[in-house]
Amino acid sequence: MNRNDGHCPCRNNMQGHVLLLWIMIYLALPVSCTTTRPASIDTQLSTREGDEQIREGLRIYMRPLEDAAEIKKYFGTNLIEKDILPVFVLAENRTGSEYFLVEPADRYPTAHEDKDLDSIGSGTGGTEYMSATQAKKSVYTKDTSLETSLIMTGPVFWLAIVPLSMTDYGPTDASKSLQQALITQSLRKQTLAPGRTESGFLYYHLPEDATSAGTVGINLKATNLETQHIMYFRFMKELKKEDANVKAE
Amino acid sequence: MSRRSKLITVPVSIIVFLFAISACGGFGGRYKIDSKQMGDSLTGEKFPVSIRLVLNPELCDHTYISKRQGAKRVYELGEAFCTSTKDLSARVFKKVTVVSTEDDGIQGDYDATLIPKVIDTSVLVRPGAPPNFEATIIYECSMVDRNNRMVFLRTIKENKVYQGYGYEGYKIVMQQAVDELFLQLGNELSFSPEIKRFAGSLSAE
Repeated sequence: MNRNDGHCPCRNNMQGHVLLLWIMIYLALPVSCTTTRPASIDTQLSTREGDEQIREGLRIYMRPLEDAAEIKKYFGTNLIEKDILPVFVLAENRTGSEYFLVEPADRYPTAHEDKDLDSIGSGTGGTEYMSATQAKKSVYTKDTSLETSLIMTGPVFWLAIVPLSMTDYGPTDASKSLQQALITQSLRKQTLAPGRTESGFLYYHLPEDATSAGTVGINLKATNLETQHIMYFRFMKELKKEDANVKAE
Repeated sequence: MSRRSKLITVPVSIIVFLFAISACGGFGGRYKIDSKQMGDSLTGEKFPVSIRLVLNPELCDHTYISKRQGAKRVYELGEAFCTSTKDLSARVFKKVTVVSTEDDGIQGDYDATLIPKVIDTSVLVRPGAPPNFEATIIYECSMVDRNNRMVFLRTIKENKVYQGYGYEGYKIVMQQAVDELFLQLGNELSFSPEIKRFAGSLSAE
């Protein structure tokens, strides 16, 4: 022990470490809440090869996003890991005089409900349509950064962790950013005047066992505003094997 | 702890803590958002359509509560939504009658019913120098004729970004989002081919 200045050098070292730890925690806090703004819907989404159907001058194009990098570009995170499959949909009214109301349909009507339809089984392989609001709720992650900071700080503060962990501090910045992207990028019910195009994402809940997510059934309903004639657009899409691999990672 | 250590530790802790707080959570607050001032916008010809405008309490009392790292922010948006929608409708349509439920005034003299609805509101901050404040409002506006047949339906997705320091950013960005939202909605209504066609069908009768 060095008695010249009346202090223990190991104690000074410890104080230095505590100070350093505090600085690191405080500096880590803003860094930990940094998020990047996801890209807005652009033309790149509709230029890749997808499926399309044209009926009575109404064109519907759709493409499930299966590439992790592409999903991250538009949502900031890989939604497949959260059991959500984003499907890009574009509706284009190519007629010169017809007006349509286009909306996502959570299911395809059976032949019993609509006599014009052939009987088609559900065949969605466990995937289910979820509204943007349901998708938003499913990605909520509670912010626990304060509790983590206290755990790192030391035993004196550990007592505060129990009451703090019971308090809702709101979502993390990352989950809020994702929630905002899910709502903003979603395809919503719209009227389509001649020449008008609308696009956005529909969301499908993937079963937890990714290997069983064989096909996804994407359904849209279009009503001709003049005649009130209803058309259903259904796409059955095989999911690539990579989706299961991404989920398994 | 030695006196020298205290002299360093305490101010450094306070400075870093204040920096962290200003960059992240903050202390919360309550913000009253004003309605959009229409000014000289939408001075074109009005549609010769009588509208029954449904401004329900759910819309007119709408508040959005944002929580971030324990800091709670309450946005009073309802009055701005209702006043702006009413002012906007009066500039676009010949006659506007305001009701508070979809059943009110159903026997009255009107051509179509206009129903505005808030779908979602959100505010987030992306820390940086300066931080980015982002406000999103998803606002739906539908118009149905007397037979309840859809005439027009549009969802405005307003996403506003404001860069700046200080907590005022939380209010500024939401105010800008509301202003921009009603500017967009005004344009969608005034230049809507659906409403133009509907108005044409009324005059042809």
